[in-house]
Amino acid sequence: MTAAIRSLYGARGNSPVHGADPRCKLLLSLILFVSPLLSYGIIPLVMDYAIVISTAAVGRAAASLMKLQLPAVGISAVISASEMLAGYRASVAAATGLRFLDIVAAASLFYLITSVDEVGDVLAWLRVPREASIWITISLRFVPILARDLSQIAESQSSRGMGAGGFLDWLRGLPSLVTPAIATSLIRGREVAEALEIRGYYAGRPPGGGRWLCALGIAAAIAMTLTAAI
Amino acid sequence: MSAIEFDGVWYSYRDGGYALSDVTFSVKAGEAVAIVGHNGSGKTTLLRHLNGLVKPTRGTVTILGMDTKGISVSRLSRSVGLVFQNPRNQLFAQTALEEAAFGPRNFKLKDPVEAARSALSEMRLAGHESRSPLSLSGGEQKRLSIAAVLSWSPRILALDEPTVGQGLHDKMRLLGLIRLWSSRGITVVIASHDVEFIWRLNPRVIAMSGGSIVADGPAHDVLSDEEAARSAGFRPPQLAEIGNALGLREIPGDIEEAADALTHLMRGVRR
Amino acid sequence: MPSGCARPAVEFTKFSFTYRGSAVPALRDIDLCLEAGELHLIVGGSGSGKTSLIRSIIGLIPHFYEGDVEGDVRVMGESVAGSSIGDLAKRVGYVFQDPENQLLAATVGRDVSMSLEAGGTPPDIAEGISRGILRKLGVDHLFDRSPHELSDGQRQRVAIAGEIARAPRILLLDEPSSMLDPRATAELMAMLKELKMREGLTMIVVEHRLEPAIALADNVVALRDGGVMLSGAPRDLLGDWMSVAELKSAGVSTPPVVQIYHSLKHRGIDIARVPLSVDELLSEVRA
Repeated sequence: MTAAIRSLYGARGNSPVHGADPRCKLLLSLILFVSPLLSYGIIPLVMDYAIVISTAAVGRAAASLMKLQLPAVGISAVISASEMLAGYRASVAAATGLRFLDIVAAASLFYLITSVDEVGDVLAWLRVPREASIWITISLRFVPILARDLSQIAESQSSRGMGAGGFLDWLRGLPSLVTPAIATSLIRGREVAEALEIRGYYAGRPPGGGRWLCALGIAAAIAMTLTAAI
Repeated sequence: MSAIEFDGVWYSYRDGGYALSDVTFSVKAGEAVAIVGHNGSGKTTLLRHLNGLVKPTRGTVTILGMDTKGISVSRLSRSVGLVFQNPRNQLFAQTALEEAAFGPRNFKLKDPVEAARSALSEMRLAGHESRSPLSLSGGEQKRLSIAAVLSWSPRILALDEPTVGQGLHDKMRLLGLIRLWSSRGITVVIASHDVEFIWRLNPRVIAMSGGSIVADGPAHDVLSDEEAARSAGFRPPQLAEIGNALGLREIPGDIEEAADALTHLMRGVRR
Repeated sequence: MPSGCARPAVEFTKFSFTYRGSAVPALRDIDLCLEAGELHLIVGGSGSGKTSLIRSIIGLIPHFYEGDVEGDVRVMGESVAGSSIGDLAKRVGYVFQDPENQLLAATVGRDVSMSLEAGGTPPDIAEGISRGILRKLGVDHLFDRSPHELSDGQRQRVAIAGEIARAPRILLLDEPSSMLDPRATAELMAMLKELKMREGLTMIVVEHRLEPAIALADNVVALRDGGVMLSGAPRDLLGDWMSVAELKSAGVSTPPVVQIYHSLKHRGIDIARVPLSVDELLSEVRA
């Protein structure tokens, strides 16, 4: 499991940052996430990144954060390179790359310093209607489960020789990863919908398994992205 | 040359603790071995070492003369077919035939479809070739997951809890198949809680507890060993319990033998 | 086949159900009366209809799973078709085969309080009640843990806690031993026995085999192809050679001690009581 998943769902970290009010953490992460989008110069972007790293350092999560950055660095370089090829000035291209890196860093930071039930608390404080809040926390709650399912699927398929013939072969075998992932998510989605009915949500309303499939679909997408980042 | 060799194998979790502690044993080609133990005893981790999904932290695992450390899962799987416990996490194809052909295609076998067909037939799924795997019943899906591994004829078969959810008839057929595979020289390793099934199969049994092997021997010896039962967290099969309680020299091998022993006891008392 | 029972917890009257889009009925002509306060073991192979049966008790059939319904199901006297799932769930708890899918909150404690809060209990009171229930099941130390960190046995207990938080009179368990090892299964059976005795709950346990619940069951119902094949008290059923043969043909194996009982009977040796465990067999023999 990636550091992100473990920290979001696992044992709570022990630092001033972790102990901070979750609303504060959300706000900080949001600011760090949004400001790169609004900045143009390289200097503000570098500063933003520095703030992210220092917050992570205070939260003793700097190493985990850097681990999460690795794939992002690659993508960031690709973005900058393609902009330069498209004719933009070097400084602009660098800024775009950095912007991407900043956003990913801010999102990673959020994952690293917050836990799922804190997210639930913040949503409640924001007066998000209970239903939507549950929708979001359930989706988040199922991310590690779907990630686990996905890794079991990947293990099953490589145990049947997927990828034995090289990368292209592996690509051709992708449906063997995607189909069971979707099938398992759908089944989980249906059962989650059942569980919610039983617990009294939707009392009196027509059955709507669709919503939960949607939620789980989103969770699945997040899970796949996170797993791909391993 | 043994088919499987574990030599001083230790496997540690990332956050400390050992899933396997100094595990050493070897399995001859064509042998059938059942691994019993409570959840967390290391039996699943042991199974996962067989096809390289997991590599030892210390020590060596040698499969058919090859050290697993340098070999990828997909390469090792050509020789070691691991059948997972949950078929739902692997079935994906449009038809059962395609599902069973996946492995042979990956391993570039000469005639994947024919190999798939014969595996399906061996698992009594011949009539279901064109059905969608997800439309099959639980028991059929389990058989399909076994067929999907048999199809590339690995020399070692590892099955994780193959009898869970299976009815009596399917279990008896599986028992017959395991004996058949052994007779063909295929090494079979199963991890199972089903002591009654293992008793009837009568393979070699390795009992595990807390990452170590606590007993290793013929099924009728290990499963009736109360000490091993306690550590490995299983209950001896009923026939063994009866044998132990009556202090019989030989544990009854089947129902009739047990009834004989009890008749003897009761008639003896009556006289 | 079944006559009315004295205090019915669940009653099926000529109940049939076919899932929408399916050609074959999942349940056919079910006539069943399940007595309150007893532990009922519903046994059958895959496709026998056991999951559909319990869905029909909690109301998932017909309110969540649509299809063609015939006949009637009553839970504690109230018609299932006429009540909502939410209402039924106040009287019936349902523990999934994979409890992971019903632990919805971020922590164990919140999950157990969830049902209570949905019913209007204020959060602080709900928390107190949750802790109490978790303590009763021996897992209060898991209060702040995240559900996916738990072992299978622990997850199951937490799911049971979440269901009994609503103080139901009936508890449904779908193949509870399928994910557990023998040790954990024995612990679960002991817990169910205690819940039945202490709380007077009606337990309905679905399994695909007789053991290990048979030793605790007051009543066994064997399903086959969507219909009731056999039903009765465990010793009555297993003491009858024809029933044992029928069970075998349906793929349900009988415990070796029962097979020994019949073998002795065939030799002219009649043991007073049908043994459901090795201890029982030995005490009968030694008597």
